[in-house]
Amino acid sequence: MAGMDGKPDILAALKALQDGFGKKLPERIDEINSIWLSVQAERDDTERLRHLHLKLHSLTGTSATYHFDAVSKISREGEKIAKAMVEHGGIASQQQEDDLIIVLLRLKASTHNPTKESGTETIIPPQQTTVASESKKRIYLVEDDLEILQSTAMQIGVFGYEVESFPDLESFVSAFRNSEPDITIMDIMFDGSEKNGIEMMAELNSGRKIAARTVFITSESDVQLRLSAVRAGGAAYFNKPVNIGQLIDTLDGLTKQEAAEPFRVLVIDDNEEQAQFSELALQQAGMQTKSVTQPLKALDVLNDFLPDLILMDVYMPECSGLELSRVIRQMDMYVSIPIVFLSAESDLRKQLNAMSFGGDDFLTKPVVPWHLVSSVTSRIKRGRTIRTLAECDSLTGLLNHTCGKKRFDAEVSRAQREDTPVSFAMLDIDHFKHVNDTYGHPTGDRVLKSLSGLLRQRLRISDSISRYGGEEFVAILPNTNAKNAKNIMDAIREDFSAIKQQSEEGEYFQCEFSCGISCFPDSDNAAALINAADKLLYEAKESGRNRIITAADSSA
Amino acid sequence: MQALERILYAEDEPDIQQVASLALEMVGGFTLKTCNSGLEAVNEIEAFEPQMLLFDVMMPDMDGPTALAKVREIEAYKDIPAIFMTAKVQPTEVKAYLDMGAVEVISKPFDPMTLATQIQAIWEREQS
Repeated sequence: MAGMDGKPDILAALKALQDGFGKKLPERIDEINSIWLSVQAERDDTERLRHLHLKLHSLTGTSATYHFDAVSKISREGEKIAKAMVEHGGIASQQQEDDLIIVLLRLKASTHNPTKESGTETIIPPQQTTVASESKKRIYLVEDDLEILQSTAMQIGVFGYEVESFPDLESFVSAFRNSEPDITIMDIMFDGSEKNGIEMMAELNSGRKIAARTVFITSESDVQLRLSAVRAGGAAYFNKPVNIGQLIDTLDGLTKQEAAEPFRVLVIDDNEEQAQFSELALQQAGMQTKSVTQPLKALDVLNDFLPDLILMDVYMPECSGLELSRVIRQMDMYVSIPIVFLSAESDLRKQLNAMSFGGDDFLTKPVVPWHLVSSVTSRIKRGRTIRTLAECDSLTGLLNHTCGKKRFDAEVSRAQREDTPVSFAMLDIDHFKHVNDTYGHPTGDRVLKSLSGLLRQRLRISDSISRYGGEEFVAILPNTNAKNAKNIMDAIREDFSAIKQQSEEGEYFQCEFSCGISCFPDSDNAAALINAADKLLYEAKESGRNRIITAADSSA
Repeated sequence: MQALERILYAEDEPDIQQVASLALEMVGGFTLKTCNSGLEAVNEIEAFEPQMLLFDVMMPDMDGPTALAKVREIEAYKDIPAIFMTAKVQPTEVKAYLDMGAVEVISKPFDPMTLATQIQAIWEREQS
């Protein structure tokens, strides 16, 4: 199945399997219990005992494979007792029987809370940069309900995707074989058969190294169906009725223009083999790594490599990991970089000591790669989130007010220097308070996201978009005069008003926005331009809303 | 050196089969034929023409070591490299499996992220 980067998304697949296994566990343990009951009924039947032993043996192995370590441990005890019974040719003693009963009871109890060992949380690997392309992304939409087909195609189209609609699998397959889309959105139910859509994608994917990116849509939501969707290369799965906002978020995620950069990890370990092992494990999860075997060289590498996280051995000659982490923490740039220690030290007290020196986490050697990857991934994600929080609006992911303003100052200076125009568009959603009051804030937030998504889709990478506050947005369009800026924003305005917004209760409604555009060199500094755009926006509101006004249109 | 592509895999437990095939097909890019027992593996071998065998030790019908012995009776496969997978990895047991003609014993649970690399390394070692 394809990850965001088109590589097999192994961790996501494993997670799906792991979840599935967890759900089946109680059933397997019940089965073992009923075999045991049959053994008790026929105490010398070695065939039944052998069966019991085999079942316990395979539970031990599978639960360990899926990191249900507590279950595996108990099961192994049971396996040993069962083996002794087999070798004895029957239940040897009351004690043995009691021991096994206790094991089975503990097994049963473990499924009520089948906790996986801590630190084994599986995480989707980081996305890798795909080459940014300005061309529209192509979507094939396959859906046999014509009404849904039409309205969904229209809505997705509004967000800047090129959509081709297919009412049946046959026409889709021939189009797919002819030319593949960036993403296929596939209804699962065709002709009443549950899996038709999934089977079709599985067939198209068979023999391919990288599965075609597919989003499945269905009215069912059972686990088996989801799992088979994952196996058929499904990148996402939606229940009907599909929330268009969420669907667009997913499509944006899958086709992300400025895809997140791969995670970068600096490995500091004096043992070359250990360093290589860590690097290999992290690289297999799609991360970029660099290793340093002489701790004192780490500082030079830091500045060039700019890692997201440092993975460090505690005991090294020259300079211990603890000392080095203090040095790193003293540098302003690295105050918040996550540091994870790696050591054979299992003494909890010493671990805590290491944390107080500025470490964020402590992994005990030998580390299983799976654990290493998930531990590092969650640390980096958190670190990146903190950075994003400082610069971006949390709801829309656009720049926040402060950053937007700074960017505009910089753009105006550049425009002055290069003698080029730059337009400043200030947008405000009409009657937004009414949306919040009528449908609630979550729905209002969704509307804000739909506008931010639309702006992001439709504007150029060189344009910057910020959320100025509440329902107010700002777009800065370098090298664009007021007339062109108006044309661009007007097309977006029209499309925005065509989006069928959906409340949490499923009601549909539409939203519009008003916009004022000022342009350098009409005013010669950022403050004056902002002020001018604000006035023009006010004028747009006063003269009836749902319109764009530039200085040329102004009656003032 | 010939590249490793085709692996015949025998394991009776479907849940482990799934993880292993993810690990070997998706991560490793190998072509895998999965069998549910040693007997099935012996029956499938000539049609599939594997370059390497990966057998679970304990399976109903026919266990891994017995299946390997059967495979070795076929002239074309008398030298095919075989790996056993097992949860029991006492050093004495490992030695016993190696004596049965396996080139390596991989312990369960295996790590799905590195299984392919591990097998590739064994293959390269056996080829050199």
